[in-house]
Amino acid sequence: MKKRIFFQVIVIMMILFIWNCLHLGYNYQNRLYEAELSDSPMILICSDLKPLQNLKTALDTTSIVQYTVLEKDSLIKRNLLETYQLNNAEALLGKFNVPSILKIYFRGVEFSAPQKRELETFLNTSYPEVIINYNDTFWQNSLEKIALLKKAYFYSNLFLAVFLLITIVFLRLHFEMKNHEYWRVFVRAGGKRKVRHLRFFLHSLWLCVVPVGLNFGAYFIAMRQHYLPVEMDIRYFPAEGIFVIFSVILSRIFIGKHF
Amino acid sequence: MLRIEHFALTPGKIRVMVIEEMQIANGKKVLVFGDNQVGKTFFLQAVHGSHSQYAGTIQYKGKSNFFKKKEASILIENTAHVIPGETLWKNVTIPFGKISKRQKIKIFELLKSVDLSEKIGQKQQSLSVSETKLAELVRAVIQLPHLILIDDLDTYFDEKNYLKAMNILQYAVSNGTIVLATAKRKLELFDDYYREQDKKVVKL
Repeated sequence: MKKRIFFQVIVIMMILFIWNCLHLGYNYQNRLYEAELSDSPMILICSDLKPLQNLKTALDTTSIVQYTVLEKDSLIKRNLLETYQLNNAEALLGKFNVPSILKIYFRGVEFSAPQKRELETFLNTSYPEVIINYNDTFWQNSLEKIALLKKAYFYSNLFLAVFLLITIVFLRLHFEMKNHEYWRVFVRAGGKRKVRHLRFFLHSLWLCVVPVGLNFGAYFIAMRQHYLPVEMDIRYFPAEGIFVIFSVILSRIFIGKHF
Repeated sequence: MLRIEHFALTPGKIRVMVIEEMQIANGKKVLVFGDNQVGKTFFLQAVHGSHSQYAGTIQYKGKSNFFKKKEASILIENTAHVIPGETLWKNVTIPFGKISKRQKIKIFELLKSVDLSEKIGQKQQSLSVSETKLAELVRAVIQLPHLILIDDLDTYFDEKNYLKAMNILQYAVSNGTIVLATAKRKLELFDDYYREQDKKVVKL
């Protein structure tokens, strides 16, 4: 009987491990996509510095913007001279009016379609002189990838929850039915009926506590040893425990009168 | 004290196996004997609490619902209640959660008294019917229940094994257990005898 419980603990632990890997994998990939999105700035070009300075002040306080970088015309000129080694052309370049630029770095997915539309409308109406340069295709693709990832994450969670539920119910039913003859003889031989109920409760307790506990322990050690590139919300662990308890209760209901 | 009054099995409207009064004191062995199909098995099941189609009262120490606690009585039926794939020792100790050293010694002594001590490691399926029944008796006796009910006692044993069985039962009887058995014929070594005659059970 101990072997059977051990087997059930291992199976549930493995499924929970896969489930936790899914959370970690999602967090990792999502962070990657968001970082890509944040790394691609919107560039506002204007020959006059004043509107860009005003814009910087206004945008720095909004939630969609991570940070902004204002590059003045003098800085751009110097960059040009250094990059292309145009030391001899310094006097010539001084005669030209080089525009200033404002780079806006967004906070990943928070800069979604409505926010983008709102910002573009605001810029076009309030600052018509500002030229907007932004890689719309990349932004669109990134948002689609993130949306797809979320969808895949949701369905994977659903699948794993159903799979875990079916597995626990099936395992509990299977092993209880397999032990049915033993318990029949046990009662006929003078054994107390409540022993079976007590044993079922104790085994259920093992199934609810040990796999979740071991998974949490493994996660805790991995975090402490810096093996994981991302963290996961530790509230997932009690949630998984509650789900296992629910599955065990369901299996007890299914066993019902056969007990 | 087991007290049975105005008892009758009632399969439908017919009353069979009528017992006007039966009183069995603690530590007594009682045999009810009679032909086949007179209701002896149902009678034992009624006392055990697993058969409810009867009239009258069955009381133990003045309580009529004593058998709701199934462990108060152990019924040894024709069908052997053992796990064939398990060893003799496992089958004998199955009702015990944790078994004390004293109980282990006693079980071993009882098994030794019926020449089964050398077979404790053998699978139950390799033992004969009489050996299985002796093992069931040992298992019942060691728990010292209020009642041990044995159906068709004369079916399983030859004279030699019958004496062994009665010897085992003596251990429980000397500790106050009531033994109530049924058989087709009168057997020796019981304290009281009841005979089924024309659907009525009378004391001899």
